[in-house]
Amino acid sequence: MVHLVIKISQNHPQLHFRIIQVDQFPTWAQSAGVVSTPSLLIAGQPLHAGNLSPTQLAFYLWLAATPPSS
Amino acid sequence: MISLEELTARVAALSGPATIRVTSSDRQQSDVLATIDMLEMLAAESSLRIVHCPDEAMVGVRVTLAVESNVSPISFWGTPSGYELEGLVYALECLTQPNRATDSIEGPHIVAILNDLPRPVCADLFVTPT
Repeated sequence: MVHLVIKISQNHPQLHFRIIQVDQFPTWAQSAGVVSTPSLLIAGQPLHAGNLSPTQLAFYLWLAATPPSS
Repeated sequence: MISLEELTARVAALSGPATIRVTSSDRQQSDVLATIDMLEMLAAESSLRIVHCPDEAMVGVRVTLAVESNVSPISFWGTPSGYELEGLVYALECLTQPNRATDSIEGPHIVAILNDLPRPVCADLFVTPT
């Protein structure tokens, strides 16, 4: 997942990722609901636990960036 | 598991000047000193600069990467170790050698999905040192 988010953000400048070590930020991880790693948190979405495929990641990011249709 | 020597060699092969910024509230804290020491070992054979940026509000350590005014979209929260340290080197390589990032990990359908996003997205990836 780490390499995937690095690569995808380099190719698409509107994407930014914080890579957070849970052992050094346990409170942050706990408040995000992290129980296993890797876990990806995108605002407005439930926590995505486990490795995501490039297609899955792209879809969730697109979903976050796209306003809901009225 | 990639050795520190291999990572140091990859950093030495980077093209272009790059800076690693280590942000913390207190440079003298043991975890901050350990982070800076490790990064200086990584940078020992290169022109990579390690800079400490004090921020009183910062809890823990944050590591960011930049090539001149171009800042990486990736930030590392906590001292990267093991596989995450390799990820930091990979992020540096992508930043200094943009063509490196264009390989088959993204098919045309993914490029189409992510090109021209209507608004920026920031996401948090929680990891455990391996």
